[in-house]
Amino acid sequence: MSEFDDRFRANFELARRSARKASWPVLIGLTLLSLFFLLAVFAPFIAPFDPWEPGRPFLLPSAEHPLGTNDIGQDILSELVYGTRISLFVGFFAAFVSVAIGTLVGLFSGYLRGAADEVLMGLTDIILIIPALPLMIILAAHTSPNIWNIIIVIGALWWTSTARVVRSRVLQLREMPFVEAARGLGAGDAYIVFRHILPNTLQVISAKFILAVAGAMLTEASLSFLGLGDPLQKSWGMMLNYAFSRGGFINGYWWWYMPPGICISLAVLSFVLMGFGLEEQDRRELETSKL
Amino acid sequence: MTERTGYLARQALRYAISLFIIVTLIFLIPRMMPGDPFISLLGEEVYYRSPDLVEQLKTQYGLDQPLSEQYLSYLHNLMQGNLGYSFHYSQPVWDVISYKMKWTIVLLIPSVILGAILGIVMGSLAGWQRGSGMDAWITSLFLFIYSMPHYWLAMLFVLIFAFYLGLFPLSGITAGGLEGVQKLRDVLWHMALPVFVLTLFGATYNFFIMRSSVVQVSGEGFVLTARAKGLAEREILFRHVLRNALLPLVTVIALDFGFMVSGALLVEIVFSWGGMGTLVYDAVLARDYPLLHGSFLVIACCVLAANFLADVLYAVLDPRIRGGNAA
Amino acid sequence: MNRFRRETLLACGLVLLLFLMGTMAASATENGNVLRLGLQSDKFTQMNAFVLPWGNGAVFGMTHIPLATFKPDLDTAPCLAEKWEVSSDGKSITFHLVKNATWHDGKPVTAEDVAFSFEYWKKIDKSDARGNWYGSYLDHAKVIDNNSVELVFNESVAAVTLASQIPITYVIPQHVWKGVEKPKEYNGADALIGCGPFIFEKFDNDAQIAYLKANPNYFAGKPAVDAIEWHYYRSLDTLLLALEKGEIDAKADYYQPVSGIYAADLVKADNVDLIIVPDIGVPLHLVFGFKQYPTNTTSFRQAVSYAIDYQALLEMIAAGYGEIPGKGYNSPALPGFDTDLPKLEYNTTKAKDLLNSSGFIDKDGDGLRESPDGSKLRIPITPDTKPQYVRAAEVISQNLRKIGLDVYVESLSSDALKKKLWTDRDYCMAVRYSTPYANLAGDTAAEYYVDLPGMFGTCKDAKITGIVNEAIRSKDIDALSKSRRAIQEYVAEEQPIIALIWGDAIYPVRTDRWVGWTPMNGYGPVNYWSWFSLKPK
Repeated sequence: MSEFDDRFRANFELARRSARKASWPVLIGLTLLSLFFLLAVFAPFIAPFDPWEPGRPFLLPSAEHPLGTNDIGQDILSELVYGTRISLFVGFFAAFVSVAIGTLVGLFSGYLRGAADEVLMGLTDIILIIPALPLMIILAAHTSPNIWNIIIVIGALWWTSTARVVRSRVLQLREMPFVEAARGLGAGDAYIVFRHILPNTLQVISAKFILAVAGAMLTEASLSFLGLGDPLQKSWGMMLNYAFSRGGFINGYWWWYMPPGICISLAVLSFVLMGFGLEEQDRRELETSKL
Repeated sequence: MTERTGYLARQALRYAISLFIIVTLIFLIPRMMPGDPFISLLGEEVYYRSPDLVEQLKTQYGLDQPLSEQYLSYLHNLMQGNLGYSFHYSQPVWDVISYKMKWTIVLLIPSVILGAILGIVMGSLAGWQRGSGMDAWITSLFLFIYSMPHYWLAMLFVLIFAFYLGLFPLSGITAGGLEGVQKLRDVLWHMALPVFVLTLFGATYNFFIMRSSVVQVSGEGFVLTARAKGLAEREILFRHVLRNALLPLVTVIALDFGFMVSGALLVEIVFSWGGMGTLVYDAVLARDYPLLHGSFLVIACCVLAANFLADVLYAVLDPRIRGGNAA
Repeated sequence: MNRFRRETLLACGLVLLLFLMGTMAASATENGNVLRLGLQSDKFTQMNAFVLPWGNGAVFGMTHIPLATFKPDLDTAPCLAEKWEVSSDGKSITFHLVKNATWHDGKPVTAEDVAFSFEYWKKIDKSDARGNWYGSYLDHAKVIDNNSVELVFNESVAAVTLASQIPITYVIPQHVWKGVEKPKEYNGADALIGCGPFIFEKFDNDAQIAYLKANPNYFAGKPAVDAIEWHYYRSLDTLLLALEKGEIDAKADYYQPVSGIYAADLVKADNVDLIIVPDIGVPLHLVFGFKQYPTNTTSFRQAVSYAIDYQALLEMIAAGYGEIPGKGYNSPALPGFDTDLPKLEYNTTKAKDLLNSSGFIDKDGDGLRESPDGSKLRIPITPDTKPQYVRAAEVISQNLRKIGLDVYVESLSSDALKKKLWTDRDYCMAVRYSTPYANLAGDTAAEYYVDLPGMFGTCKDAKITGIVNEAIRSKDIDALSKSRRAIQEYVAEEQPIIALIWGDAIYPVRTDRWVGWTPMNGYGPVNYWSWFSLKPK
């Protein structure tokens, strides 16, 4: 009994130590993200003004307007708070679209193999190679600048890396005994794919999702900077665009162009930290399992 | 040998198909977009001003022909190197692009190389000492840089180093009126900031890949053996770990090209560097579609070429693809 | 391993830094008697007289000059022509050229060159305003003798042509352009040969700088400026920063005054002055579409005009540099400005009253007004794509929402916008601007709201189309002034277009190397007269 106790305690200690070691990035990332999430959800209560209300322009930071006002007198701090909504929204949705497509493609490709696999992977490779930003610029230039078009454009080009990763995982999984057992019991392909394989790919998918959100937010910021964003939305990228094109840069209004950039960085960082931390955790688990 | 050539041939075929699809996409996109495809093809400057000109050009461009015929003449033109005419620049698209492309390459090559070196060095240090304080610091730094929008950081650099401190020029490729060595030094001086920014971003990308590569390799059996044999840490790192970890990185450097092109686009705009980035941006602003499409085709070709190069390198270096011999 | 690598890296870094600092020292160049100008709005593409920025060059008067040019108050002054006579029926002008003008390649300027120029302008592409004008109205150009040319029009448009077209139509050498079918594609080395005070030398493509030198044989005397360097900057911010640092002396763009929002920073810099001239264009306006309801209703438009907070717009878009406009639309700098017309007024009570009395009442209590027949009213406002117009549209939509109108900003892709504004013209309200050229033209900026051939508006009211047609065919300046007053009175009454800001045109210049700029209304200090009035400090 005590031997079992000892071994259990040793393993628990090991797990706890490794869990604690690996989790600092995840914890920080999660904290940051929750902060932004709260900002987004409770924006109307947190923001001191209605960010759409025009007022006296180019005011310096003061007690009333901690970050001053922009070129049409809107309170920058309020814009920043509301901007969380759009930026997170675009990030999540674009990531969702791209990961959803990628997962479907990866699932079918990996499970069905053969001709379907060749075709889908060929398509994936081809799209993977196309330089994303230039193509997004072309698509955005041709379509009207609204938030959904941007989401679709990002989603349409980014599913490829998810597809590949999901496919590798599916290839691994489909050889496993529980799948064979299910097949032996007479389960249909669709059932196996969605009931057995998909849940086991979730880890891989969530890792990709997290990074996709980060990337989508950065891309939206880039497109807005180029003037291809939705000019009517208060995203951080659009704030930067106006700050730079309406004299914020040369007049030295750092309270206008620094905060949105910092927010983008921190928001992206939160996702990147989580993704990175989870990856480290995975590796640690893999290592401890090797021993 | 045959396995390698077989592999390369397959990859070449893949790229050829990619190129074909990209070419077709460029043909289809303007014709599929809502609105008059003619605007998309000519750019609006011409379109909304003069209806006679529009009619004249429609026949010239063969837009009254059936789609298949248009496609064939489009391909025909491409093969002759005719990318169309830019109304914005009053020059053939190819002339404009070839001039600007070289300046982007001038920026990209040192950035890719320096970024790779920086990423490799930092990545292997961090990966080798994983879990230590140094790893934490370096990794955090790179994580933070990775999260920043490229152009925002570039803007800050311009503001701080070029405007307030006056250490570097504000914009452009060179000041006027210089020749020879003086011009070279001037160009280098103008290049310094943009290359620095691009290097930083390239380095972050490589850093993470190198780090995880090193971490993965150092967990493998032969490292344990080497340690057991009593080899010094440094020897293990260089002789064994790096050699194996370097392989994926070699391909990544070539792939970096594709990634860097997007980064370079934005950085060029901030630094007013007269390369493809500013060209694409101006083409978008002016909605000069022939120029925009032409630029995209050229960029896509370069990226494809870089990828193919990566495959060739991979085939040459990876022992597993050699004919028959095991690692 | 670590230390060795770290040290080598550090050493390399230091060497690089020292090298760079060395190059910095080497790059400081000598100034000399060179005027450095900055270009931002048009980029250098072909070195060709018909391609931008050279294509707008008549106002600058560098390499090419017109027969008559604008005076600083926008009246007409002799240039290549020393005098002219307008026929009594207003259908022709006879120009008498100066006797000793030569092209930059030495050949003399003759009446044949002038006649050729106008015939050439007539047949080149209609998308150019000059091509459009001469294509529509010039019958032919006749050589009278070696120094005299007669321009014959098919209608009595001579006075208007003289006031608005001649100063922007420069003369080109026949021996260069005679066989050229597509002027914009011509890339010969002589494509910039003109007879102006400056000769084009070369273009540095890498540095994006065009070099010009003074023409020693210029018929009116060698300019005081020895040489010009025209630097291109991709963004306005970089250009202004370069101006502040002393890399350039002034900004030289065709009608691109600097917005008031930059003025604050510019005045702080050493040796930078702001030259402020009365603007002849209207930097921000709201034009109504007559193809849509309710903007085709006069009382609705008048209500809208009372609902806009002009003072706030002035502060946001122009940082206060300017004044609240008058109801007549055209700015006070326009020759023929009607001083009797009142200013626009921000009065929400009047706005609401007008809407109420016209039947636009909120019947269902949701805070938004419906049309008189009860249907929902949702009105888009369509701004031009540049950020300042989008911002202005945002502010205006907020103003209008305050009086109960459901107005929203419609942001379209550039293609869709152009289609809506120029082809279909089915907008309700569009936020744009007008150029000096449009205001100086015979139609006095009516082209933005009137639907006539060659114009861009939607209003078909016979009253205004009649006045505009008359204005274009004014027999002389007095008749033109009369027509202009009539146009302004109509606009004040019916309000098919509302000027939102009368701006000051701000042009920054450096004061430490050159003095003696001659500012021109609307166009600023960089113009033909300054070449002879500037002196090095």
